[in-house]
Amino acid sequence: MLHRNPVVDASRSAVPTSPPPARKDGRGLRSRSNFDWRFLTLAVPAVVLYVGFLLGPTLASFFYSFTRWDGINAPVFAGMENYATLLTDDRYTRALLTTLAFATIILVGQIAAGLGLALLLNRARRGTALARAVFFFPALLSTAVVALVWGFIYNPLVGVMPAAASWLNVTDGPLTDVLGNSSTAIWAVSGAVVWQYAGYMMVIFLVGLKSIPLEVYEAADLDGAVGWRRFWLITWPLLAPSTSVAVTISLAGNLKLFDQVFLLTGGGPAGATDTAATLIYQTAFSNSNFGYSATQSVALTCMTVVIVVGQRWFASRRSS
Amino acid sequence: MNARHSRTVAACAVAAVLSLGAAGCGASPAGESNVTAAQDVTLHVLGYAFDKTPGIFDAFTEATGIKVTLEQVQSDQLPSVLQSRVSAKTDLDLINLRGGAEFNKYAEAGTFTNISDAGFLANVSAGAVENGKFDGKSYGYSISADTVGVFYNTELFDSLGIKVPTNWDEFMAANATIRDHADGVAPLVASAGESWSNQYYYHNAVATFAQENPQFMADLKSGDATWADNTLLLRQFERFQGLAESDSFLTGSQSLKYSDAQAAFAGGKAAMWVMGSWGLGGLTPAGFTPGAFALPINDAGEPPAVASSLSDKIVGVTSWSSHPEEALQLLEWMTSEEFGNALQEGQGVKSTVAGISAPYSEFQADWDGLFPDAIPFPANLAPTVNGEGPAVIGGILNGTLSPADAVARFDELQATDNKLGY
Repeated sequence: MLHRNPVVDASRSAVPTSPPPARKDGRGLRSRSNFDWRFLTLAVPAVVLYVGFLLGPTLASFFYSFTRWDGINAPVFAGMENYATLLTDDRYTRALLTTLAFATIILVGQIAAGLGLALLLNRARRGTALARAVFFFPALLSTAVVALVWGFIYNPLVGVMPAAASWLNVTDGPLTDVLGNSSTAIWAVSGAVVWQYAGYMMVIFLVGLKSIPLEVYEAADLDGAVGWRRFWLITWPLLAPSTSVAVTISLAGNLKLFDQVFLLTGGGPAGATDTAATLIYQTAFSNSNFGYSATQSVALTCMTVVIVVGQRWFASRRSS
Repeated sequence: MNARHSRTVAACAVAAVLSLGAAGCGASPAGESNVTAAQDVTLHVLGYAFDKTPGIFDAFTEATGIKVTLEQVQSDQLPSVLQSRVSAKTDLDLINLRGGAEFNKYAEAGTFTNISDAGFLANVSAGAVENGKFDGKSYGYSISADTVGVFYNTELFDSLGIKVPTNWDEFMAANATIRDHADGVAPLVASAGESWSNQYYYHNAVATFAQENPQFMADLKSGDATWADNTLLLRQFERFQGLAESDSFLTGSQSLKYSDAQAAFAGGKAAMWVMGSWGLGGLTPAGFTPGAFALPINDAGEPPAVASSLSDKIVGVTSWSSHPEEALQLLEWMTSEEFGNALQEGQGVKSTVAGISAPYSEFQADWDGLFPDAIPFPANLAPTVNGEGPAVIGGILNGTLSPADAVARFDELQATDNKLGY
């Protein structure tokens, strides 16, 4: 009778049996004199692009966050004024909370849908390639197309959802105008995002599922672990690396959620779906307040970094 | 040279080419344009006002041999596109942008060529020229004039015995009659899904108050007045709240876009639509004649309200144009009757060119009646109030904002703009 914990055994098998030999001189595997400069040369294009299009603009944004600037005329240094305004900006605080709500709803939705699809396809014997392609297809669509499709589904005049509501004899309430109702708009937009990227998450989880050794399941079968118990005690823990990747990707993407909200609701109704990113856009391009917009961007970046790094730290701590 | 060195050299060459390519991404094509021969000039026009007339400059090309490339941008994307293109001073010769805060910002930054001495400005209306002035100098002019009012279904009004409302009580009574007697037709349709379209419920209240109190906008800017001092605005917000609470709006008005609302009105789903005269463009009513009247922001016994007009759709030549003479030639041609007629016919908007004969819509009669008395909307409305202000109507519409809070919100936005010195 097998009495070992298969989870512990599986994770043990993933750890290298012995650490790499340490060098007595404390240096890396190659000495400095033998460093192959070709690699550095090959990195030049990437470094140029990184500095020019990411690092440079990021530092510039940080600089502009201390200015009053309309985006065209010369900026005026304003010290900490924008940051002081940010601390008392209720609208930005609400937008941050809405962003967190979006990120949470979409995260849960994407993980659940992606994992569900992956489990389904992992067990299926026929048509898996076609099903994978079908489920992944929305991730290949541009956000504008997705917004067009879901905008039609939700459209209160000619949409599918109001038509379904009418068919069910529901002539009033949120179902007749999901995007125009403060309590349902956030769920409606989240649904569109989940639909778009569930297939992407499915691929991540499928890879994770394929990497779980069959021996573990065989051992579990012998132990009588089946169904939900088998999923909860074996599959879910062994999917931790995949889950961690999926959570990171989802959080990093949705904490700066912009396009779907912008296209579907424009932040409405009455600001109910305004995310930090849509507010930043509005502050800059609609209100011509680029200085304060940069301040809002810095705050959002800091929040995103703290949450994503925190999540990674938490995940690595759990796995260790 | 051995294989290893060959690979090293090849890698360096590829890296250098890619680096140069990346560095060249931001380079301005101005130098190239300078070399362009004068006899093969192509002018680049960026704008948002020619979505239904993409070939409007063909006649200019035929007459002068100067080619024109039109880059039509969606109205809601114009601010970001304009920002990047002007910042980079890309290959643009003529820009079409909105009046008021947007035009002022770019004019202040020296975006446009000074045309104060241009004789062709006499070809367009005085209001159009005024819209293109900044700091006392002319940098452009409006190509079209727009008036804001209420579209209505004349056949439905007649069949229900409703007369054109001349005060707010009559307007509400008309709403009630439509709601109670026009089967399946909502009194009004709004398009709060695009918040800019909300502002036309208070547009003539702001314009009227500014005209009656000429110092008000300047006092707002200096902090000597607040939006709470604009009694017409608060009253209009209260009236709008009454409208929202009286179930007058078509279901979905909270999320509909401009084009949805236009289609709903044209399709007979709503009896009225508060919008500007540009709504005539592309309007295809299903078996009825749309009329128009000014939104009655007056109570019974008060003088009748008049419509408001917009300083919109300005054109100007960029100060860095590679072909300034040809660009000015195009700007002059745009004050010709040929262009004015083509714009009216194709775009469905009223041209500012004098002596135009072409109709801008088969339903223009009522709008023509509103134009002469229309009060210009203040062009110096600050950008944040202009940009975010319309969203407060959405708050009143869904019951999350009281009229008093909406006015207070206006004052918050104004304070932001004042701090920035707009």
